Amino acid sequence: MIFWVLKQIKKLLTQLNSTESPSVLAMGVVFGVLLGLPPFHFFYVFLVVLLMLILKVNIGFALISLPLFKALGVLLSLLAHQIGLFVLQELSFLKGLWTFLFNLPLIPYTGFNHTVTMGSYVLSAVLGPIVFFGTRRLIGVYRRTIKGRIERSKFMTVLKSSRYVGWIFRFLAE
Amino acid sequence: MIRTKFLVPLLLFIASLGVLAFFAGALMERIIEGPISNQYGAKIEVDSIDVSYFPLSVHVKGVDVTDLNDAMKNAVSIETIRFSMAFLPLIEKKALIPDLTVEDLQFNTVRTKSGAIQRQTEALDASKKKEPGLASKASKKVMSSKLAKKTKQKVNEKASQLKEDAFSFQSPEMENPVQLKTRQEAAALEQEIKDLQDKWEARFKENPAKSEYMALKTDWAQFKAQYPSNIDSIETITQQITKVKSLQDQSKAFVETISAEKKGFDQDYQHVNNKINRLSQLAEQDYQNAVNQLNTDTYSFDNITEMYLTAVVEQKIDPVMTRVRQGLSTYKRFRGSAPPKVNSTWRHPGQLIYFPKERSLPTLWIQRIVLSASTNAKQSLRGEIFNVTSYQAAVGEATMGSIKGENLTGAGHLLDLEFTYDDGSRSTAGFKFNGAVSGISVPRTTVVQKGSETIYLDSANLVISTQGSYQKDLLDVRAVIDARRLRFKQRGISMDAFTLNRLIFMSLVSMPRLKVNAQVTGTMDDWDLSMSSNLDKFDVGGLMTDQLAQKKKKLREQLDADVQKQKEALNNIFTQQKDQLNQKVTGYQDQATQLENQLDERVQAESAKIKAKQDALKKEAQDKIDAEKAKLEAEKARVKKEAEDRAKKEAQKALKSLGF
Repeated sequence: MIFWVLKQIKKLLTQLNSTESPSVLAMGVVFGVLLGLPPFHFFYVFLVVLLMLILKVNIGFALISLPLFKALGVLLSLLAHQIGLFVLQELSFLKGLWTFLFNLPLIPYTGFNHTVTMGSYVLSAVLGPIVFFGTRRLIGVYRRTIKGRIERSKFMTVLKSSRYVGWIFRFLAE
Repeated sequence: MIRTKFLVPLLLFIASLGVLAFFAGALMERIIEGPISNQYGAKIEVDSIDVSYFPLSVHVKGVDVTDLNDAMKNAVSIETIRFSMAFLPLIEKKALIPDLTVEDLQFNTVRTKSGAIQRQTEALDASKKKEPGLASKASKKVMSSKLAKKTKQKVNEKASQLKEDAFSFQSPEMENPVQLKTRQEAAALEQEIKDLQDKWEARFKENPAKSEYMALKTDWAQFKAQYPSNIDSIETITQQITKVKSLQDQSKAFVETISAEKKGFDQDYQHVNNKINRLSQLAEQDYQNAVNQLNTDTYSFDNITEMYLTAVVEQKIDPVMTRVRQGLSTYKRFRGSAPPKVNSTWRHPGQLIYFPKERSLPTLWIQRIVLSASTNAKQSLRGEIFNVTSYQAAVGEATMGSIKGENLTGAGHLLDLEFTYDDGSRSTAGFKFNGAVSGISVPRTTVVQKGSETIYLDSANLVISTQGSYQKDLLDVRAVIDARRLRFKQRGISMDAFTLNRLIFMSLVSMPRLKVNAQVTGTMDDWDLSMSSNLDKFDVGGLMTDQLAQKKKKLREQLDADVQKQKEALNNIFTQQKDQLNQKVTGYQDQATQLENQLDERVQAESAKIKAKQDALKKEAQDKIDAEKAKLEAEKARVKKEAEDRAKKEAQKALKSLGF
């Protein structure tokens, strides 16, 4: 398990430092938001994962960010409940839509009529673009400035010259 | 933006699903004949399964399920099962079956090849290894078997029956036996006499005042030993008399004790004797009871149908009720009553908001079942059932069905049944049915069996119409049994005598058609059967009074003889025992009296002694007085003479002096 985590961190760092498009990496984080924030509903998760596999999205970034947004989902569940209650009950002009969706064959399996789930979907929709643009910008900043500084730092020089670190990296690469 | 390298496996996956769907039938066949058969323990064979997807329907041909107890038989054999299924509800884990057809369902059909599988014998071996020894198993089985329990029950019943039989009395003229109170009382008295004998034998085993008797005897012997050899004074005699009187007092107390015991003994036996004498009073009651059982000159029965047919009908209803109860419990299990599972979560639990549904489907809804079944015994069933569902309120329609059967309840019987079931969502909640069984020819059936007299039904054609409901756990079933072509016969009934059984027979014979109304009401576990028929009311008069008087006289004689016999038997035991015990107690009384007599004699002897002594002393004193008296008289005479002599002398002297 520790090795797997280390492997993912190494992969993440490699991709972060590679020439891969920042948008692809940022989309991965957005999928992390989509998977992590709402409570588990099989049909919804199936659809998001399928989309994640079809679209060119960094899966590693999605998986790494998933627990983070899962925890955030738990913390924001009360807020999500209130948003969901407002959306499902207070916005009367949407009731027709919800009734229509409720009568469709598969859509109720997304749990959209559950207040916390609906609230989480709304939060994901709001946070998604923010997370996407924010992450893309952060990655750009990192690659332009921070990456070079880190590479030139004494710590990295020592680390790179260390024989043990080389072994660990080779081991993780296998 | 699209990950092309993922698209290929995705397409491959979809294609493999298609292939799987194409071979779904064959795959299902393999699964049923392989793992499911193994799990079941015998072969389940399927000829073919065809699955089509547009629309979704399954067609199963030739299903043979081997009987677990007999590998050469099929427990169930079905020619065709065909059903279609709505696809979209399946996504919601709901089964909507518009049409289910089961054709030629048969039970217990013969197989051409054995349906046993290896696993079955292995399992049998394994179970054999675990099982206890054959002898203990057999004995355990025998002890817990229904037969053993039944035998035990029968023995108990027989014992109590024998006891009852001993007290019962029935003369040929009587309808039913009566329990004779005199015999019961006589049996109780016999026991009482035995108890009494035990009690008094224990008490009279030795003298009931033995210690007093022994003490008295010792004192008496001591008195005699210490009696003084020379009694010369009254004081001594008085002392002896006091001692004897004290012994006499002891003797009296002893006699009283014995007498008290004798009194108790006499009272006890007198009490029993009174009871024996009272048997005659009880005999009068017995006589009255027996007279009530005599064939009187007027008969009036309010419900002869219940008298003769209830037990027979109840025997028929019981198995049906058991089946219905089993069916109900299975249905309740099928519907389920457990609350939904709630998963615990760290998140806020939230709230489910429900929006109006165009139509909410139940978990299972078979809209129509077409069923045809038959057995080797030419039993067949054909019918349709609509709206079999796990939640009727969602369906909005009641479950209903109509079934026609042949030879189901018996050879030649035709069943026509219609039913509706409403689970409670409407005002017509409950199960209702309307059915009729026709073509029932009744086999030879005994209607009356009393002693050598039998009335039996030799042939009849019956139609049973039933109408009933089961609502809110309350059962109400009404049935009309319409019997035609009745042919009653009798054996052992004297046709020239006027008896109840003859009357019943004559009434039955004269009746061309019997219409019985039966009603079962109550709950499934506690139901009550009431019956009435056109046989219920019939009054007959005309039995000659003198015939009845003769019967009564005969009965009186029989009962008197019976009582006399009981009395004699009791008196024999009573007198014999009483005499024996009386002899003993009289012996003890004699001992007491003997001793008392001895003491009386002694007291008399001592008293005589005192009297003799007193007489002697008296005589001696008188003699002394007489002697003293004589002495005194002599002295008196001497003094007088001396005085006279002196006076004489003085007179002579005086005369001399005077000179005479």
